[in-house]
Amino acid sequence: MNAVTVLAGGVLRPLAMSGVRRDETAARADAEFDALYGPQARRVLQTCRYLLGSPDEAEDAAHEVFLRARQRFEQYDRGRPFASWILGVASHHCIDRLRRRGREARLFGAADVERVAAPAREPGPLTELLVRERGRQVRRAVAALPVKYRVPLVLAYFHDLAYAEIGEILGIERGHVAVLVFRARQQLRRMLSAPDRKSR
Amino acid sequence: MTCPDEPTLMMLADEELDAPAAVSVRRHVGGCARCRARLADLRTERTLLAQALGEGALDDSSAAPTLAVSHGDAAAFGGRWWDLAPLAVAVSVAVAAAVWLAGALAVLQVPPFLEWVSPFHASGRLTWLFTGMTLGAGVVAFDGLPLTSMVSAVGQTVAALLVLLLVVLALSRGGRRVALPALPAIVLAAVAVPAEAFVVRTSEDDVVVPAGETIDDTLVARGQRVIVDGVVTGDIITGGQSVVIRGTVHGNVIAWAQSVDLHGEAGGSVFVSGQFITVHGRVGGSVYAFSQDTRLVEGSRIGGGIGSYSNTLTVEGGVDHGVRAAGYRVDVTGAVQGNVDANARRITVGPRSRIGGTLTAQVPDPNALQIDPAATLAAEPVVGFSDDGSSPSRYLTGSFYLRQAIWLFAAFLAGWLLLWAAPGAAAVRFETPAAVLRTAGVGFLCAVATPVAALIAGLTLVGLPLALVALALWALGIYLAKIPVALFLGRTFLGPRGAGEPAPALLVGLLTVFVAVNLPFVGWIVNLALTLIGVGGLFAWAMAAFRASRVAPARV
Repeated sequence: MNAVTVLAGGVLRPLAMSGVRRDETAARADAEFDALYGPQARRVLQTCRYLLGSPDEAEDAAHEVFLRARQRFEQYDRGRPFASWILGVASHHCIDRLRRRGREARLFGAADVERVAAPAREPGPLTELLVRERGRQVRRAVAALPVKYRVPLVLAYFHDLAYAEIGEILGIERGHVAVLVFRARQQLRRMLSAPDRKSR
Repeated sequence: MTCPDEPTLMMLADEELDAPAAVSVRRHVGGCARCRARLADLRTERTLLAQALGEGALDDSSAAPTLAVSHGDAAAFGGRWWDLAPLAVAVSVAVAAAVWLAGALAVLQVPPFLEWVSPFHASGRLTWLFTGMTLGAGVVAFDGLPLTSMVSAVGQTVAALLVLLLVVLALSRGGRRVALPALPAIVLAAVAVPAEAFVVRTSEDDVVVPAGETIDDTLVARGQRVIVDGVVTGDIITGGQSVVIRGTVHGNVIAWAQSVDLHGEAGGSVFVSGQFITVHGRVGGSVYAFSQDTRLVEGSRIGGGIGSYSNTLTVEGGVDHGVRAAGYRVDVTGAVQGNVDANARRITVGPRSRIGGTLTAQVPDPNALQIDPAATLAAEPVVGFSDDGSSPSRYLTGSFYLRQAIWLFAAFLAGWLLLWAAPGAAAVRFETPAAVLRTAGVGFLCAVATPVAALIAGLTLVGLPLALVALALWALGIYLAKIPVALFLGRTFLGPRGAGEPAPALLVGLLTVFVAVNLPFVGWIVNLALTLIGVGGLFAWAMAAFRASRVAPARV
């Protein structure tokens, strides 16, 4: 496939698609893809936002995800839900980006580095009231989490993936995923309850 | 069983605990009120987290305006021209502000004695330009950095600005891909300016080379005042509030200061920028002066010629070659062997003056040129009157339209050739205002960085061919820049009809561009913007093509 892509101000497009001649099969695939992708577009974008932590880069990434997904659409197994497939493509792409950004493969570290035991005076789970009132603040706090905590957390609670699946995507042990998710939640609690304690 | 730790409880809440462990933990929780409460809290937290994250996907304020999910038919962009509206508004506001400012100042009628600082006046602009040069070059050049010439000083200044720009760009996103790799290259290039041995003298107060001293090298000096009474066998590169040279400099004098006084002798040429420049002594070469007031007093002797961009230039001494001057006022009372070319608001030739060549004067009106009857002129003076609004508007002249028609034809031909040689360039498109701005930013970088990089590379022998190639590509890029923009505009205007052959769309687009860039007052801004956007687009396309060629090189 002529997968030459053209970058025009951050907008990537396969040249094959911009050509004048496109055979009918491709046109049908395009239509099918559009119909499936449309409803997921927002979710893909949000995934990119959560994982990358930068709204602008997320836009770029979402577009690239769109293109990659279109290119690999033939590989999509129609028996599986499209949403999980496209979100898989999106998370893989974002993690690739994060790796490139971090310039190291072991972005998520080794399990033994993380100590699991919780220190004695940690804030408890976030209360309903706190989170309800501050959905936006929670999202902001998630965005402020370090990558290695943010990514597993988003995959676990936004994508609803099992630890094992997350481990597969990130290339780490399932147990390590649990540690990272736990750490992420701990840090979130600390971030979200700190101002409260101050105001008291 | 002791109470399970929190990670274990969390895993239970997430239904991630292995079956045997889950059974035993559940059993414990069943009998432990505290753990039951903790588990319930963790479950609630999980639900709420998922909820908060899920809401983010519906939160309009955090979602992108639109995500283009259409395929690459130009037809699909038929309705998207209004995406350019924010850019147009921004440009209009900027232009309106500039016009208003200029207009307001024009209404205020800047008094003539202030014209030299008015940015809306030719002589004022010159002052600002040279002030900028002076300050910029001065700061960078004289912070203890050795440098070979003005060129590298200017290069370093521009490089420093570029680094700053790149840092800003790197801090923003989008640009990161371009900026980060470019940053070390620019920094390296800026630092790698060839260094030579110099005698460097800097001081907070005065730098003095006393009468008996001889500096057998090039002197780089900076101080409040720089006073040279001794001898410098090389060049002298200096800056400060005032520079006084009473001794002898065998080489060139390169100076920027508020006042520069050259009483002594300079073997080479003199390049000076400052407010007041006075030459009393002898200069072997030529004098190039950028200043408010340049005066070559009686008794001074210039072996070469004079190039002056000074508000006022007074030539009382002798000049062995010609004089070229632009400014507010030019007075010649000395002897000039060659031609005198002057473009000024007032030109006077005094009674004792002699001009060996031809006097060519460009003045606003006949009264502005005064030649004393006692002056000796070898040839009849040639006098031209500059157009002070008296000439017809350029839009009313036929040659203007002829020129534009030729331009249009040439651009169409070039565009057609470009699309024939590189069909991919047709796919350069500008979808969102953000993308347009980003592309323009990249274009700006390319347009500014290329000549600077070429200049810096050209300073080293190895880099010279590279620099020439880069400059040629740069010029080509600037020339071709409007073509993809025109094609995109044409296709946008034509809608579905423009999807096939590019020629009609190209023609329509070029016509649009042609009208836009010739608009009075705003045309040049449109021109600049379109060029920058086009350069950015071409650059992006070239990068993509390059990347693709590396990915799939085998396809012949």
